[in-house]
Amino acid sequence: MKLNADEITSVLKKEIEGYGAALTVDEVGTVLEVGDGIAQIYGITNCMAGEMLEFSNGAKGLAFNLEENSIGAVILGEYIDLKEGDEVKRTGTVMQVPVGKALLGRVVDPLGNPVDGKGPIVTDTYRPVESAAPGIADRRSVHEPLLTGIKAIDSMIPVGRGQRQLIIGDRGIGKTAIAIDTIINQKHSGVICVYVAIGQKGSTIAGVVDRLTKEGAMDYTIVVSAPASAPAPLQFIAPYAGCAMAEYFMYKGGHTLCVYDDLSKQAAAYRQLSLLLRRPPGREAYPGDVFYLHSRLLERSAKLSDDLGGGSQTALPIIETQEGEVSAYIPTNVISITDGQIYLEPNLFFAGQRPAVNVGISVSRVGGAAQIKAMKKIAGTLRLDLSAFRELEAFAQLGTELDKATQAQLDRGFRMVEILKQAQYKPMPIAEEVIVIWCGGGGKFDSLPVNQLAAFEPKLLSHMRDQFPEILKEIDDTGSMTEETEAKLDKAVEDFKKDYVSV
Amino acid sequence: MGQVKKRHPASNTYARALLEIAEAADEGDAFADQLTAFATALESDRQLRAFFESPKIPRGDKKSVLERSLSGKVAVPVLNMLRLLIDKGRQTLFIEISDCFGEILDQARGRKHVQIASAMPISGSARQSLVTLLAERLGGEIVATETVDPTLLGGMTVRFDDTVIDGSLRTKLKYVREAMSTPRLGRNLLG
Repeated sequence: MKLNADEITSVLKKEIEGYGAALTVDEVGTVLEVGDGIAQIYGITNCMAGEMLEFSNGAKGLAFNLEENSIGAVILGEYIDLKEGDEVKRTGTVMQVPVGKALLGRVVDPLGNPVDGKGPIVTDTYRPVESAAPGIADRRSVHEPLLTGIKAIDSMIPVGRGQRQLIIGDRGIGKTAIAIDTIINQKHSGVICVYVAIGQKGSTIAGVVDRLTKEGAMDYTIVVSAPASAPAPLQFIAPYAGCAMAEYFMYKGGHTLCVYDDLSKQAAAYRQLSLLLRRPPGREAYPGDVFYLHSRLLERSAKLSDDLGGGSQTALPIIETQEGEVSAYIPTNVISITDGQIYLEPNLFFAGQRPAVNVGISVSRVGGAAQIKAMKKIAGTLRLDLSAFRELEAFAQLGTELDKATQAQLDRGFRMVEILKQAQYKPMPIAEEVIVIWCGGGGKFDSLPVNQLAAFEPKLLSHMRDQFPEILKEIDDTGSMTEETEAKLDKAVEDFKKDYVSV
Repeated sequence: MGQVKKRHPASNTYARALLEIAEAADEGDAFADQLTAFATALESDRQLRAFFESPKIPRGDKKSVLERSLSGKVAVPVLNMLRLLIDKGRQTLFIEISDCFGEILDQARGRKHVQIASAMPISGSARQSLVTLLAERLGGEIVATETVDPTLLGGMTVRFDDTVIDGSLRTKLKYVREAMSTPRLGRNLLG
C-alpha cells in the first residue's frame, strides 16, 4: 500500500484542530508532604474517597484518607521526583483498568500497562478496579467442576466453577505449582485465567510466564505483575485489577479463574500503606479493615445465575504460612472467607509426596456438588482407605506382626498414597484420573510393588488411550461409568497387568 | 500562590476571635492591613523575628518593646493579641494567624483571589475585560495577582480556590501529544 504524505497531514491536522478549542477546567491541590509511596495533599476539597488523582509528574494517585484539612493519597507509580508544593489534579473518576480480549496472552502491571514489550494494548473497554460483588439474587450455587488436573485435588478436594479455594502452606512446597498446573489444565476447557503475581521476585514471575508460554497456556491467560520491586500501592491494587479483568469475561457469560499469588504479600503492602497514612494498627500491626480487604476481593468471585449469562469466576487465593502457623491473623481470615482450603505440608513434600497436599485436613465446602458422578463414587472409597491407612501407619512403623486384614489395609494405603503423587506441569484429563483412582480403590494395584506404580501408571493409561478410547470417551461425555463399562475396564486392566513386564 | 503549609489548628481560632472584635468595631480591613504589615516585617527581618520568637528573651522584655514601638500605630486589640501570643508562647503562629485573618475576612467580604499566569504580560484593556468576566462568573470582587510564566508558551491560566482554568498552549500541546501516542480502536491512518 502506498502512503500519501498529504493524506497523513490532513488526518493529523484534523486531529490537532480538535484540540485547539477546548479550555480545561481542573480542580487542583498542592502536595504538603510526600514519601514512601504516600502523599498528603492540601486543597481539592471536593475530592471523593477512592477518587483517582493525577500528580504533576504524571503519576496516578488514589485518595485514601479524607481528613479535615488534608487528603492522604497513595501514589501508584514513581514518587521520587515529586516534591512539596507540586500540583495534584482531580480526575473525577475512580481507578479503572483496560479489559477485554486484547489482554489475553499479555503481561500487564496493575494499571493495565503492558510490561512484556509486545506493544500497546488496544482496547476501548475499561472496568473500575473496585466494584461491588454480585448480589444474592445474581448468583446460583456452584454446580460445574473446575478441573485442576491434579488427582489428589479433583478426587478429594474438588473445586467448582465460582468457588473460592485457598491454597495454603509454607514457602517453597508447591503452592504456585498447583495454581500453574490448574491454569495449564484449562487449555481445552475455555476457562480464561488471570494470574496475579504480588510481591514476588521478578525472576519467578518471568519463569511462570515462560512456563505458561511453553505449555501454550498464555493464549487464554492474563498475567498481572506486581513484583517485589513495585511500590506498595501497586501491590495492594493488583488483585483488584486482576479481578476486574476476569469479571469482564464473567459478566459476558464466560468462565474465569483468578489466581492471587499471594495474598499475604498484598496484606503486608496494605499494612505498609495504612501505617504510613497513620491509620491505627491492630493485631500483627495490620489495620482494622484487613479482613474487608480480602473479603471484598473474594466475594467478587461468583457463579452467576442463568439470567446473567451463567458466567463464573473461580478464585485460587494463595497464602503463605510461617512454620505451618495457620492460626496467624491473615491465614485465619482468608480460611474463613474461602469455600475450603488445600493445605500443603513440608513433611509430605520432603518425603517425596508431591503435590504435598494433606488430604486429611484439606476441605472443599462446595466442590462436591460439582464433581462428576464417576469421580464422586470412587472418591468416597479413596477417602476411607486413606483415613484408615493414616490410623494404621504408626503401627506399621513399629514393625509388629500384623494380621492379614490390617496388612492388606496398609498395603492398599501405600498404593493409594503412591498414585496420588503427580509430576509438576503434568495435569491429567479427568477420565484418566478416574481410571487410576478406580484401579487403586478396586485393588488393581495391590499385586504390584509400590515402587513400580509410578512407571506402571503412564503405561496403563497409554494402553487405555490406544486400545479402549471408548471408555475414556464415555467418562468424558456422560461423567459416569455404567456397570458394563466397569466390567470392561476391569478386564482391560487385568489383561494389561498380565502382559506388563516391568523394566 | 504561596507554598501551602499545614496550619496549626489554633491559628484559625485566634484569627476568628480577632475578626469578631474587628467586625464589632467595623475595622476589619484596618486590622488586616496592620496584621499584614507586621507579618511582612517579621518575614523580611530576621533579627526582628528572632527577637519575637526566641525563647531566650524574657516575655516581659518582648512585650515592653512591642508596646513602646507599636502603641498608637496599631489598634489596641491587635496589640493585645500580640501580648496574648507572647504570654501563651504562641508567637510562631503569628504569620499563620495573619494569613488566616486575611482569608476569613475575604470570605466574609466576598472577595476572590485570582492568580493569573500568562506567557506574556497582559495589556490593560484585556486585563480589564478578564477581571469583569471573572467577577460576573464568580460573583463578588476580584483581587487579581498576575505573573508572567514563559513556560506556558502561549495563552494563560486562571486559578482561584482549587480550580484552575487552563488555556495555555503548553497544556494543549500536552493533550495533543497524549492523543497521538495513545492507540485507539477503529481509527487507522491508512483508512
